Amino acid sequence: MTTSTLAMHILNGLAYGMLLFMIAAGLSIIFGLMNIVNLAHGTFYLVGVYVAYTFVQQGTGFWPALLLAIVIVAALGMVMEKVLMERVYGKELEQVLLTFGLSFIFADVVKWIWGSSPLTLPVPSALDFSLNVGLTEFPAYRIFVIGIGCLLAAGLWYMENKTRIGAIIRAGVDDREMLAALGINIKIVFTAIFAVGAALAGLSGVLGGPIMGMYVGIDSEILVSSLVIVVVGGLGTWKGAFIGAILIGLTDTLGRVWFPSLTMAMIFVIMIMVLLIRPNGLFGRGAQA
Amino acid sequence: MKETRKTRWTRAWLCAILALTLLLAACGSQTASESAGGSGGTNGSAGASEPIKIGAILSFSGNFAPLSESIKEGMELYFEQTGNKIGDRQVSIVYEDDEANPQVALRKYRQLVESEQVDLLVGPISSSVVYALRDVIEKDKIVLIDANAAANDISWDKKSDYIYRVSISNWQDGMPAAEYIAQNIGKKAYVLAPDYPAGHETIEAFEDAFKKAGGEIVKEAWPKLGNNDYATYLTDILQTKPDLVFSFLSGTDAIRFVQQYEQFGVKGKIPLTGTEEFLDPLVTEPTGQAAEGIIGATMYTSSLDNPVNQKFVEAFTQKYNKTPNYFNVQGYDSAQVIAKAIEQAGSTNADDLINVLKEIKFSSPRGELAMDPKTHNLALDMYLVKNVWKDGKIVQEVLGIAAKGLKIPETPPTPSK
Amino acid sequence: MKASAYGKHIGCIALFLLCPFILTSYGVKLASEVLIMAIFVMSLGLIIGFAGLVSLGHAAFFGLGAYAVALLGNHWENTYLLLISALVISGLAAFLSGLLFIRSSGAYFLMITLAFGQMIYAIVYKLEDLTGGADGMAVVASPNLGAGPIDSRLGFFYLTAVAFLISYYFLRLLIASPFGKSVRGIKENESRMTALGYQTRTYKLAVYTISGMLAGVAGALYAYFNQYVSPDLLYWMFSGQALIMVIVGGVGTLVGPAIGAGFFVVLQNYISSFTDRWPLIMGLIFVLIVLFGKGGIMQIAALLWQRFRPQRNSKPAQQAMAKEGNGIESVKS
Repeated sequence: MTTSTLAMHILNGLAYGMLLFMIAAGLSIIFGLMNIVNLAHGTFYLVGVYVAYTFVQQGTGFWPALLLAIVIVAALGMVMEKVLMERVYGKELEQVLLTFGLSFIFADVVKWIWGSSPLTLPVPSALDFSLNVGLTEFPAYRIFVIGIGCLLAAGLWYMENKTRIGAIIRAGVDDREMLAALGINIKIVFTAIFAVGAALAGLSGVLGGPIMGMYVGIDSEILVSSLVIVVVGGLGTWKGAFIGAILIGLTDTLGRVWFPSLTMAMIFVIMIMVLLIRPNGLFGRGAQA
Repeated sequence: MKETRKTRWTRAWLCAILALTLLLAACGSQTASESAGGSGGTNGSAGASEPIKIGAILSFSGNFAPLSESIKEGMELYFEQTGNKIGDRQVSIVYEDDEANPQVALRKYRQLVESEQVDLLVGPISSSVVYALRDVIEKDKIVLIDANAAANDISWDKKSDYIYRVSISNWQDGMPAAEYIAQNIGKKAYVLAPDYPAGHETIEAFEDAFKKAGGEIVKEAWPKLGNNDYATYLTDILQTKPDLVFSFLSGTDAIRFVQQYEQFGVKGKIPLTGTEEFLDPLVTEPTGQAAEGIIGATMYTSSLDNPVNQKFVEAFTQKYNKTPNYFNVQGYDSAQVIAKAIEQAGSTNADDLINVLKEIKFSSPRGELAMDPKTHNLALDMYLVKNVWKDGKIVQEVLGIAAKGLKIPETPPTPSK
Repeated sequence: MKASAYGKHIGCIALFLLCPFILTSYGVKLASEVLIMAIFVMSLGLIIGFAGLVSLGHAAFFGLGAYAVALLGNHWENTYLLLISALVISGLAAFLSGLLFIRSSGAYFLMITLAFGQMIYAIVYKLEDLTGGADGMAVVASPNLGAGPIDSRLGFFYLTAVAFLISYYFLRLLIASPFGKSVRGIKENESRMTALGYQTRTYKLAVYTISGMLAGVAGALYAYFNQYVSPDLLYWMFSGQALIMVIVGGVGTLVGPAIGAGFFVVLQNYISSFTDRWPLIMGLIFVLIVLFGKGGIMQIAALLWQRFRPQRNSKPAQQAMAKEGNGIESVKS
């Protein structure tokens, strides 16, 4: 394999990994902070891309549609947290049932509104060109997605380590009772974090639309991949989600080249290997067993 | 106290939402649609006035939903045109969702055959379902009109007297364009199809014919079914530098592949050819211009020039306000074959029906078609078709005929090495 | 157990065995399916409710059992032999995977079992020449316990009914045994049990293996039931459905998961015939169960029972409920 081919594969893996990172980041923090296994997280991806599609159809253009979709998905997340999630904190199995139920409901509502035929979100015209990278062209849009992913990671890292909000979240992941003792309004923090997580998934959906297409069912596909990332990276850390996403994105992509017969199980093989060595994921906190 | 009031409110809200949704869902549902009409029902006259009940097993949830809905549209159009009647008997269709899962399909099958007591069946989408139903159908002796499932073996080892396919087999889908491609596009082909039985069967048929026509397969790629990103394969294609790519993909897989084919700059460099899935509005409408230039063979396109098709397209466009796809035609023809078989047999008795079905001939939007009694599969005219960009959308231009009266072989062909 | 309690049990069993006479032929078939699912879901309920191991890969054991009958059934006819092979193969898979995975807990265990299930799924899917891949394969073997092939619906119903009763009473005994008590103790407070000198991992592994075996038997019966197997039987969605059945039925009880299975299968079957919007309605039902039915159907039933039964008896009923288990809330990690 030539270096330029390898570079192409790596770029592809990174672009895919970054999309997953955006979902996994929210999932991981919600997981770590509120101890919620949010099986409805893929829903935010799904709703995000379909809402953006509608705005694009209405002629708003890609970027306003992106913003509107994120706002709407964040609002959806906020309502979901306030009305439903709040009732099941600490009850893991009820969360499973509740979020599974919600993902059923939303997937079917999306199908009801937009129909079952696959649709596509066009690449924004400003980025609809290809860059020459040795062997051939590489879509500029994917480079953009990689860039956004890295920016987001840097922003989240900064927030986690350098700001008060980050300190609150870190403290909360380690010990939830402590937050209350510090006089912090946990309810507001939880709602806000849930909304941010939803917004990130919505962002991923809109950005992923032109690459992965849109259809009902992509929500559960993407959910499984991002759950794998969260677990590989370790619950409750953005850093873990980032490294995990890159690892999974790259292995999934390169696996297709080097182990074509393993494509179906590639990411699961990686996950089992990681968990056997580090039962709490790469960056997970908590006692090693 | 405030808390309880709030809770009560939320509950009231949720109940209201639930009630509303249930109501809407009930209204929106179209199961058991056209039920027994007025036709009296003095039970003396040997069932001639009893309604005919058709059970449809399709996959309305999951990735096959668009296919299932298209088939349903086609069937409903046909029966609307006949005034919901076969002969003088009313028709009612009961639709069931098999979730493309054989286990669910078997449950639904029993429900249709035993509880609903349907006279005959139509469906399914998925090959796994048709295989699973095959044995129980043999036992229960009930006719199934196969409206989509393309597994070759249902015409060979798993052939049943009670199953007749009005769609296409994987073999017929894969091979007809091969000779044209080898002679006019290039000799070195890169093939790509999902890694599951339908993919293997279709590609095998293509490769066989392609090699016979002097072509060579330079590489095979087998992405998983439901692959989210084809970038890796496209990079590999660019590196391999074949004369052309031949692919079999469907639904979202096909859409993603075609779009990414353009995004990675492969379109224009290496010609893309493929099965009829790539030449159908279900794929070419979402992809838009990216699908321009794809060449392949298909059994149907809305631009076919025959009187039956012209009437069909007109009626279809009027009813649904869109261009028909080939699944619509499969649905339409399934309904047509059912009606014709029952009329000719004069009853819904399975043994009478299969005598007719074995040699049934009918006028399809695809042309004049006949069942091949040896394989229970249609002899199809396959048209060479190219996607062209015209007035802001992709349309299919017919280049010629790839194969006339193409039948699936009677036994599995031995692949040439 | 008092004599009256025995009487109740015998009464229930008798009623249960008389079921086919009030059902249509289709109903009998559906009832058999529900019973097989109930065995499977009980096996999952065992590890969730009593050992605190929430798995999202349990369909792997069910599927292995089913494929054991399908594949080995091409060579062997003996039903006992096939059922035992299914039991051994799934038990072995559970034991080996458990050996590696048991030390994970909570969400990590959930995910690693999911991954394991998906790997088994991928293997079956990929071995196309052997298993038919995505197309699945027909099952040749037919059930025969020595008194001729069981090909009538009624016969098969009784086969599954007996299998269900054996599984149920076996699990009941298991939970009541000292071993069962230790397992529950580990779930309540693992560090205390470790301090008391228990090899907690061994206990968990044992119960996981038993659960896998039972799931395998259920899968084997299902292969006989449909005479067809396909990779859907191993897919994570099916594991997810089983998990939902457990939660819907009520965690920490034995009957709960079985009822959850019946509830789910029958309801989904009828709703999906009634409307294409069935995922929406099923989803709403799940959400409502969480909001109003704290602790699943069993709890709802108990609440209704308390409300409508004579006042003087309400206390023992509550206690009985508490003894069997106390619903979802008890499972926290």
